[in-house]
Amino acid sequence: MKSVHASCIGNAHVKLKKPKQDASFSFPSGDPEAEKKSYAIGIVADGHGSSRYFRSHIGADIATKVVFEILEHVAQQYPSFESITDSHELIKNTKITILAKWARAVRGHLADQPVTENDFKRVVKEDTGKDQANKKIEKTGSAERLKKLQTDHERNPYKTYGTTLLATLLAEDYHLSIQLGDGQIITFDASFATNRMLHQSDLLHEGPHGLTDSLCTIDAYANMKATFEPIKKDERIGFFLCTDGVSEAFSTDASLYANIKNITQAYLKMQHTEAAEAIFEWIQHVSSRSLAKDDASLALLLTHEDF
Amino acid sequence: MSGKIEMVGEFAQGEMAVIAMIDTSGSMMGEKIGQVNDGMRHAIEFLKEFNDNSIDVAVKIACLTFSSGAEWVNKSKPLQDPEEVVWNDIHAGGFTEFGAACKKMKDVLTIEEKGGWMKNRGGIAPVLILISDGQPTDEYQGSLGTLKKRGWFKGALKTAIAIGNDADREMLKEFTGHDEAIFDVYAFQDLSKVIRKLVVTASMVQSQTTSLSHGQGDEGFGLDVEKAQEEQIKQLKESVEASLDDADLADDF
Repeated sequence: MKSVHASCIGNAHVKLKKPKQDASFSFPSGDPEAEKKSYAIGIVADGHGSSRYFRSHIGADIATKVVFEILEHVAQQYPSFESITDSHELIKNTKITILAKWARAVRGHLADQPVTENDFKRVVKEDTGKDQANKKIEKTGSAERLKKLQTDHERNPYKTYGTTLLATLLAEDYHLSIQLGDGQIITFDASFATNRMLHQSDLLHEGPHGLTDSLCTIDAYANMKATFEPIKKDERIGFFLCTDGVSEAFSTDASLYANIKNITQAYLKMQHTEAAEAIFEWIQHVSSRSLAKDDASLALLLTHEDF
Repeated sequence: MSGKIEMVGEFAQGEMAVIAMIDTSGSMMGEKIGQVNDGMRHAIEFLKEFNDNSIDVAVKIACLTFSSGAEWVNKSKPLQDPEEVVWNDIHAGGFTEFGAACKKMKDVLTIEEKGGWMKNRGGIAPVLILISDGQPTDEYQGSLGTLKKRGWFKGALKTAIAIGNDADREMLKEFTGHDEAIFDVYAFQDLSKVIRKLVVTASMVQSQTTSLSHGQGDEGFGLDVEKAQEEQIKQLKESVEASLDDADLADDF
């Protein structure tokens, strides 16, 4: 099994002095010992960009860490398709565990670094600063806005950490893919002739860009999509996971697929470190040329070294 | 070539629809409908210019009229690049079946893959401008309720022009979601001016806010959708009212 991942900050975030709010992770990610194992894991997360989600980069980072632990546990517990007797139960438990562990880690972070009134004041100030034309209106609305932010935080302390999540566990003869929010998980074969976007019928946009599901919302469990499918042993199959900074950048699905082919072929020709650097350069280029200039992240998983 | 990995294919471009919903019932006859035609003609000219100067966002325009039923202007291709539009005067007569217009609107406020007009990639929530001088004559609530559930409607910048004293402000408020998004016109000779200024300003506000929203993930239309829209409407109101007070407005066009 092979994997690589990359994540870059978008120019829009640089301009607004915001941190990179995406996070990505993959396993085995070039570790020769780890590559001998019979599973690979890829995860990308896109922390929400609005100023009120001022800890979303931490939320995204936490998501990649806890989800890796959970999926690695699943891979070890269930090494083969046959070892899974009840896939519905597996999906349900995986989803619940992801939400519970992410929430626990967020609570831990909050306990270490509580959100203060000054944090919310900074949000109000950022919002006010954005719109010079509305200075007068903003001034009168600031107190109200501050109160609303504080009330919202009391009601849902996870909100400031809000993030999407896309993850795939690629085992020897099955895969388990989880998606909450925008971005895409695409599976493809070695000929690159067959590409398939997972969860698209569920996720096909019914609203403008930016309306997304999130780990921080109360309906996260219901909105979290999951696919569990068998894979033929020794089948050459790849998974490409990306945040919307990549998937929304191209005008068509065909353009995205053509780039996945290029990335995969380039990856297979290079040493891991060189490939990871080249993919990072590619992702930076995509982000800078896209309409959104958003953070961009990807993870690539391949079943075979000679894909 | 971008470094060691070749980048292929085209990047998505932003596309935003500006859709006018115009009451063409009998009460709109005469000066009112004349002013609407004049205002739309000028607005289209501005949108041509807007597209010429815009790098990231291309605007398209469509017009939905409602009286005894509802129909798109230029039925064969209702959503057009402003460059393609040849504005033929619309005429007034009949009832005010606003519910029929909501049904038609609902059908287009979905992505192209589902038969609508919205782009899945690069699609920006539209600008919707409702122009009316009276009370709906049909049971519109159900159709409006369904329309309001559409994600693209929720993200849209919705504004309305209430013409004269008989306009149904409650209905207009239900549509826009905000009292401040309604512009009152009592002097009919001002209607053309208000329409063109509203189309112009709303297009600018929505395209700018959406650019920001793209850049910041969900700044404009994410989980803070309500706040973002309040901001847009405030900005729109200030800008339109300031320009309407400007005696030299005519020179702008």
